[in-house]
Amino acid sequence: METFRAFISLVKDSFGYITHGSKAYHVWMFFLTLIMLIGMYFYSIQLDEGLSVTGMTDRVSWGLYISNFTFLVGVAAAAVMLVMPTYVLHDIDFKQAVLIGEGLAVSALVMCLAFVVADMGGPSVLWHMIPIIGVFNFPSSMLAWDVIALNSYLFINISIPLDILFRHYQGKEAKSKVYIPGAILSVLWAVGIHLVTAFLYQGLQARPFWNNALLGPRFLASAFAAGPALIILVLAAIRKFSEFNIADKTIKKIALIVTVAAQINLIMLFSELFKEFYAPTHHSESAYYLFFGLEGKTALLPWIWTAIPLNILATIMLTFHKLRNNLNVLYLCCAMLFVAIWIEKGFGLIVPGFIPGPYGKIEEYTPSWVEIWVTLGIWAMGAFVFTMLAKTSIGIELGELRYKRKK
Amino acid sequence: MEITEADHTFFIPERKSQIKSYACIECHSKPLTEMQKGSELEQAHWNIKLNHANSNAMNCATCHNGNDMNNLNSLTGKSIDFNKSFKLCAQCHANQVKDWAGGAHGKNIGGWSKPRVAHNCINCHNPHAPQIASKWPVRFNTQKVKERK
Amino acid sequence: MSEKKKWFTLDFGLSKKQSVTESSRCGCGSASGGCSSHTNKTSNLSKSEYTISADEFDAAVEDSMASETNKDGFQQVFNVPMDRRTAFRKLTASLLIGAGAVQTSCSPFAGEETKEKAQIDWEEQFKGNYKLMTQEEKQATVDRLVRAYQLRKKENITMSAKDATKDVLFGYAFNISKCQGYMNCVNACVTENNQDRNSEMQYIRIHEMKDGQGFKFNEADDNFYHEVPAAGHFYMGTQCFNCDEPPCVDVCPVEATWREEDGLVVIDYDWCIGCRYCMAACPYDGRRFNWSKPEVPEDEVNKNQHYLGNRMRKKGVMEKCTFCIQRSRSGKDPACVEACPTGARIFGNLLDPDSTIRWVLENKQVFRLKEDLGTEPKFWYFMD
Repeated sequence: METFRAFISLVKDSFGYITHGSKAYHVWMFFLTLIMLIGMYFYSIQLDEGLSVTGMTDRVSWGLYISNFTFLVGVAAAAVMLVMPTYVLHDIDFKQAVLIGEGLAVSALVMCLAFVVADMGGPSVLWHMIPIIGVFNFPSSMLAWDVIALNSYLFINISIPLDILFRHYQGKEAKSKVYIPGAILSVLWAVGIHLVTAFLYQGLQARPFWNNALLGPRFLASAFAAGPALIILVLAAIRKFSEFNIADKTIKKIALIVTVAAQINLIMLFSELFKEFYAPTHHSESAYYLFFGLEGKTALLPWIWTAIPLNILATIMLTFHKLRNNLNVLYLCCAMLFVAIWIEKGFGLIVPGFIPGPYGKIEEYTPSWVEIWVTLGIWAMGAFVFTMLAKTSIGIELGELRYKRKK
Repeated sequence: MEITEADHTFFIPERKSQIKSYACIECHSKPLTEMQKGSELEQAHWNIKLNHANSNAMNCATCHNGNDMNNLNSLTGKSIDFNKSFKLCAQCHANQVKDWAGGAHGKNIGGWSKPRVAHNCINCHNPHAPQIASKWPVRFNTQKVKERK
Repeated sequence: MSEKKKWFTLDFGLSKKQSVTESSRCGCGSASGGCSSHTNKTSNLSKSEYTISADEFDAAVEDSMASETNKDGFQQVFNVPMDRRTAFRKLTASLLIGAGAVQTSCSPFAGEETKEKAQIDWEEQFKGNYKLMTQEEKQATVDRLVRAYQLRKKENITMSAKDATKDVLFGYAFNISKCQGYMNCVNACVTENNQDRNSEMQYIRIHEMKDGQGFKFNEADDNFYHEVPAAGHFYMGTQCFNCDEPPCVDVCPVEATWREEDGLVVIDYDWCIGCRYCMAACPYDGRRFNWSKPEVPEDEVNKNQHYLGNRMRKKGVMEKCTFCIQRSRSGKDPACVEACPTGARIFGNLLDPDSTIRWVLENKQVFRLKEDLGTEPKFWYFMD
């Protein structure tokens, strides 16, 4: 009973907390709301007219939405990689980063689910996917696995920080018996969601570009580079805009994770390129299309040739301790890496999978404005959710939000 | 009508009733050589141009018998019923007729279920000019052109 | 009174028995006098038959709770000090209000037909997966769809729910040396299967290939318009191959597509959520998606339909060639086979040793596309 009252109070307090803030905060939230509203308007057009208002066709049947979904699963998975050292190894450096990381995971997952819903042809019958009420093609369909994996990951990542924050809110210490198994589970689950998402593509014998044993591991490597890179950027922003104290040491430790992951990712990229271009078969055509264009169709060239140099440059720069330990250079590298992996894993992975088509036909894909605005709207929603979560958890951690026992 | 060819039994359309002026002997009352002698009769079938193999291999008499116009004529002079004209074709086009009997050549018209009904050779091929003329496709997809721009 | 009944028929199983017997009285699917075969008796049914008393309600709640007790995590999660029965009742009540709101929003002063439409739409929205339906449920949904079409377009259609026949497995063979690229098959397919005219959706593709270069699909032209057959070219048609090991079926997250007993791979358009995973999984370009609302001019609609075949689709769902299930299940050849003037298309029962398809497979040099993928297409190619 007491706990329940405390919980209600937490909800009330945090609601009050997130609706008050500096001018910059209000401007930021207003800006996000505006983008969200524009996105919703364009989504209503899509609902009304059907997916024909997007750039997708029978040839390239997944586009910007699924690209972003794939990338964000990686971000969600990576955020939790910070959990392990903190909770289990009692590495104090990461402690502040973790709540932010889990907040990031939650908002990334919310975005993932939103992207999947945006991509559906019949969102009104999505209940067909709910087990028991609907029919769930488990274990045969990888998408069914993914739905389970993502939703339980979301549940885990909401409940662990909620438990910790709730206890801190009441002025108690968090129970390690509860959160350590939870943390271990969520780390395993993080690897799981990303592998399952990779298997979603990897399991399709129809698409040789995806049907590649390296896809899963490479997904993990790029996720553990892009996810923590985003965390570093977010921590930098938090350091700037709030009194929440994050030590340089924390950021540098995360930078180390980013560096190693980026290096592994690069090795795997080279291995892939070697296989595709040293002994090209007709299965290499998608890769040719991606990197050099096919039959004069070159829509992806500007993208991939932005991504690859950024990726290589950022990885090289991160490799040198001197450069990495300079925080401004580090932020730049993280931004570069983030953009590079977003392109590589989004557009650079999903679209060429469909090109050339099953019978060698090439139809290019360019996202329509509707798609772009819906995508921006969903990103704004993610940022909105994250800002709220981060503000609340920072408030609790700083002790500004505390439960006042009323009799 | 039911036929059995190379162990396959199936139905083909009856032919004689489809020929406008069968029986032929209603006009061809006497052997052709005799009819051609007199000029009191109008010329007939003048519009038929034989475009089937070359003139070394085939002329009218390869298939028609001037003395028995009601039936077709095999290479060895045996009579072949108009309803079973495929037997005539089979003399040269043995492979095609074998495929036809099996079902690989020609057109099935009765659906996949039993009984099997197929077109006879002459339902598709004009025996006097069996080559099928080229034509324009019946459809063109304009949306596909747009998509591939 | 009938409004009352309306929303009670889509209920929680309390009045199910009654509504079933009611609707079985008339084939039109209407339970409220929408068609002449309804007797006055229907409308004479008193309110009490469709309204349950508080006691009955409690009993029903009790019943359903008895089975729920073990797995109910309600209390643990929220730690609510509320009586569970009250909670359940409140939830149910709010659901009923919601259902009623939807219903009344389009009913109180509207005509009988409008109400019936709303009723049908409601039941269609929340029906189950066709694959798992009993024969009666299949017939019920088919009846509803026919009635809905009648109400909306004032036209009658026939819709079949015919199941696969025993000892039939459909197979298809395509004679590459015979096809001349006339495209009659494409025309017939579009007309037969009610495909969207605006986007010019077509299940069949005819690829024009150069002689002497083998099967180079990437260099082939599948949208030609010139006199055919073009010199130095040959033609090869592709469509859904209705594979025996269909990868599209495995990936569907909701089992909206499956392989029937006679080998046809079908889609329940009403169950499909439009994720297009099957499209990505198909190596043969066999599937099509309705990117916008499909439209067919009323006078061109083929009114002889099958639930799993050529009935009207809606926006945002997949569709594909089913070897014209509405035709093939009644012994006819698919429309493309019937329309082909060259006899390049051969269709039949693979389990019948006397069938023409079997003769082709046994006597010709046949091959299939992308056999290395293990999809086991039931579509063979051969040459004279």
